[in-house]
This record gives sequence, structure tokens and C-alpha cells, in this order.
Amino acid sequence: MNRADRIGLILVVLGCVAGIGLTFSATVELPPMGVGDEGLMARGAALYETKCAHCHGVDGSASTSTARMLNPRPRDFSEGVIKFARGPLPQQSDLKRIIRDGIPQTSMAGFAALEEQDLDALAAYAEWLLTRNNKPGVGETPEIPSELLTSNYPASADRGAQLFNSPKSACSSCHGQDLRGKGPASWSEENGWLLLDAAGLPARPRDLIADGLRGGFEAEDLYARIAFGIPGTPMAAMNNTLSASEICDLVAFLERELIHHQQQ
Amino acid sequence: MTKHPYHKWIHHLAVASLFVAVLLTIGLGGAVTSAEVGMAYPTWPDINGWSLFNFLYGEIASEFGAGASIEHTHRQAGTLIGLLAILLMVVCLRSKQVPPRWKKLSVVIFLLVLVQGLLGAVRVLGNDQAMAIAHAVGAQLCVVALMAMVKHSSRAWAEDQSAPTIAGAGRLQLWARVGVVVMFINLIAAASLRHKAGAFSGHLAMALLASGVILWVIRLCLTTMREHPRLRRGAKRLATLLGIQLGLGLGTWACLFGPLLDYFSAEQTRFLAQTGFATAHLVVGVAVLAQLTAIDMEARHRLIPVEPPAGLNR
Repeated sequence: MNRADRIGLILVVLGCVAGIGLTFSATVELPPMGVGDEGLMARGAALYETKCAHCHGVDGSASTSTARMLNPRPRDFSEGVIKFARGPLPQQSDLKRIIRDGIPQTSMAGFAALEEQDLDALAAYAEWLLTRNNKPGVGETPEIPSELLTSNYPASADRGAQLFNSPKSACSSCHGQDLRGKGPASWSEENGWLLLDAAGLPARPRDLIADGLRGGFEAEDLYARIAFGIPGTPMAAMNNTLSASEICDLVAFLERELIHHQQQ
Repeated sequence: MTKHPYHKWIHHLAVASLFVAVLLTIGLGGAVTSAEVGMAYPTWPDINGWSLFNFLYGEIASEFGAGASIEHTHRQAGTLIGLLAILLMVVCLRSKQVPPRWKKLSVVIFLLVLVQGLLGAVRVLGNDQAMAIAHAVGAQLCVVALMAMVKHSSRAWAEDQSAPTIAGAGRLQLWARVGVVVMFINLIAAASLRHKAGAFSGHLAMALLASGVILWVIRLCLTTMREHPRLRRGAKRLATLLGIQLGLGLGTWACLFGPLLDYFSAEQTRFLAQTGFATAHLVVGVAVLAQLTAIDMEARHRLIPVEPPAGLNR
């Protein structure tokens, strides 16, 4: 190797070191957690930008091109609601649970690898995005009667089966008597899916057997779905139509059916 | 020098694998990253129970969105390259007159493709950005290995086994290898940038450095390898690819950060232009690496450097 090549090689090595340095040193650094809400929000905002913004948009309105390529669409935080909360209004714990675990059968992957404090920071920032347009945003979780959910199970499930197919709850009109998501109000052979969501997109009721449940499988999750509905979709809140014990009957019935089909 | 045989089917398989890898698997993978739909469906390898071997793309798009459909085709292309790598390995291992080096290379290719598939799975299931970068970088290694197989198994490689002693061959050997390494580092910087873990300035610096080294390699081929037509042809091909690549890089920059950002008034058009330029830039970048690998192999295995007389090593 002659001197010119040696010098060239040294320059190339230096160039590589500079290039690698520039690549990895100038990246967005997360601000330290800091103290109080301000520090939490700053870190949440930085995390949001790297992990969430490409789907949910920098302003949380989910108007990105990537969002348009996903079905269901990512949440538009400017609407002030989330779909899968354990109450009519989401709590920060709901936001944190969704960020950590994701939402099954959607593009919302879980971020279980994030540290607890980062989950808190992201949940705090998501809460701000939800509430900043004076929308109701985050609220208190109403009491879910856990004692009713576990009591007198077989009889409760039988009552729930009757209620599921009754005009009072009208569950089967959308979800179908066989729970496969094709009821007379939601599907017809001629026109396909009949229901639309708030964005005007076709809203397909859950096939409760095959699709699984996006909002969680626990009894409290099922209770919350029935009682408080799924905002932005035709799944209406039933807490004004049905009593707490009736909702618990429906939960018992659904649990029995889901377990039965899982065993099959 | 060891005499190399020519195995038509092994060569055709290697060429097919290389084209599938670059144009389909990496092309679609690039489109996935450009459109940021790598996590369009965080299940693997199925999409919510829909088989990997489902070819009803329209139905997948209407059910889960166009992003899921693109990701699905990328996974299918990955499966195809996996099958081709298995076939290539089996054919190489079972053929009696195949040199041991080919057999080893075919196993390396299979293992690289296998690891790539697993990296893709870990990336999706763990929602892990670092794995996404590793997955992108691993693809370049597959291309280098496949290019080596294409070159080794080619008819030209088998028929023309002369290794002329040419002044300047040592220099070309050195800089072609340096070029491959620098290009590879540049692709790491690019993958980091695309996955939001690296800065644009880093990729720009590495791209300029890689371009400088590549231009130097091209110059060495054209000026000192007058009696080696394959190297000259390879250098011209590399020059063409480099020109296209620089143009695409400029176009990608203009669409993402520069003057073309405001040129497209419709957001969808702007998005398509950004995605198209970025993906084409990635694919041609991989092609540059592949061509550089070919020149490196040619220089390393088909040239004998002239040892300079003592005292003249300036």
C-alpha cells in the first residue's frame, strides 16, 4: 500500500467515524423525566413524536397518510373519546393499559417494552391530546359491580342468553343470534354491512366467537363495553336501558359462550 | 487456480434469488418502511388469522387497510426468498461437482435469510425499532451473499479463469473492499434514518463519502483495467447506478424536506411521491452495493497484483 492509499484510507476511516457519530449523536434525545407534570409532559411529548405520531398525527388528529392505510383507523384524539375504556370517559389507567398492551386485531401494537415511567408520560400526553379541545376527555371510572359479575353464574348466564336475544337489549339484532356478528340490523345478503361509524366507514359488529374482543376479555371489560358502549361506533351504551344485574347476566352469558367455543 | 465448473441451474437459482431479494422482498420492505406501515398488523406470520398464503390482497386491504396488504406482500416475498434459499442450498449440497466454497456459501445464504425472517418476526411481535433497523441491515448482508453466489456460479466466472497480473490491481482490490464496507455503513445510517433512530446529516455524510470512494473505484477500473473488459463493464454499470442513486437521493430529500414538499398540494400525491422516491432510493442503493460486491469479487479473485519493486513503495 503506497502513501496516497494510506492517507486515503485514514481519511475514509475518519469520515466513517464522523458519519456514524453524526447519525447517532444528533438523534432526538428524550428529555429527562424531571419533576412534576411539566417533566412528565415533556417526556411524553418526545415519546409520542417518535412512537405514535406517524399514525396518530403530530396533533393527534390521525390525519396522516399512514393512518389512511389502516383499518380500523388510529384514534383521533381531537374527538375527546377512546373506544375501550372502563367507563363512559377514559381514565389515565385505560390509556396506559392500551399503550402497554395494544388493541388486539388492530394496528395498535403494545409498547410493553417501555418503562413504567415512560408509559405514565405517554398516558399523560395522550390525556392532554384528548382534553385540549375542551372535550370531556378523561374522567372518573364508575363503579363496576364486581360482586354481581361472579355470583350465581349458571342462572345468570341463562338469563343473559334470553336477554341477548330479546328486543330489550337488541344485542342479537346486530351481533346475530349465533354471536357471529351478522344480525338483521347489521348485515344483509344484498347490501353487505349496513352500519357506519362516526367517520362514515363501515362498522362491522364483532363476531364474538371468531374475532375476539378488542377491549379485553375480563368480566369488567365486557361489563364496560355493554354498559358504556364504544364511542364513535353503533355500539350504544346500555346502562340507561338495562340494570346493572341485567348487564351482569349478559356478561355471564358471553363468558360462557366464549369459554365454550374456546374449548371446542 | 482452482477450476470452477458452471452449473446452469445453480446460477439461475442464485440470479432469481437475487432479483426476488432486491426487487420484491427489499423493495416491498422499503415500501413498508416508507409508508410507515411496518406495524400495520402486529401479528406474525398471519394477519389476524388470515393465512400467509392468502393472495386476496383486495380483501385484506378492505378488511385491514392498504398498509396491512403491503406488509402482507412483503412477508410473502420473504417466504419466497426463503423457499429459493432452501432450494439453492439443497441443490448445492446434493450436487457432486459443486466446489465446497459454493456449498458453504449456500448454507450461509440460507442462514442469513432465516435470521432475516426471525428478525422480522421479533420486530413485529416485540414492536421493537432496534430490531427493525437490524432487519433492514440484515437484508443488505443477504444481498452481498447472494451476489457472491451469482458471481461464483456465473458462466463468465467458470469460462474465463485467467487472472492477469495488472499494475494497479492491488489498489483496486483495496478500494473495492473499502467501497463495500463504506457503502454498508452508509446503508446502516440510512436504515437508522428511515426508522427515526438516526439523523439525516449522518446519512448525508456517509452517502457523500461512499460516493467519493465509489467514484474512485470506477476511475481505477476505467483507467487501469483496460485489458479487463468485465471490470470495465462493471464499472460503467456502477457509474450508471450511482448517478441514478444520487438523483433519487436528491429527489427523496426534495420531497421530504426540500422544495418539492410544498409542490404537491394534495397530501396523498405528496405521500405517494415521498414513498415512491424513498423506496426507489433504497432499492437502487442495494443495487449499488450488489454491483460493488461484484467488482470487489472480480478484483479479488480475477486479478493478481504486481508487487512493486523494493524501494518504489511510495
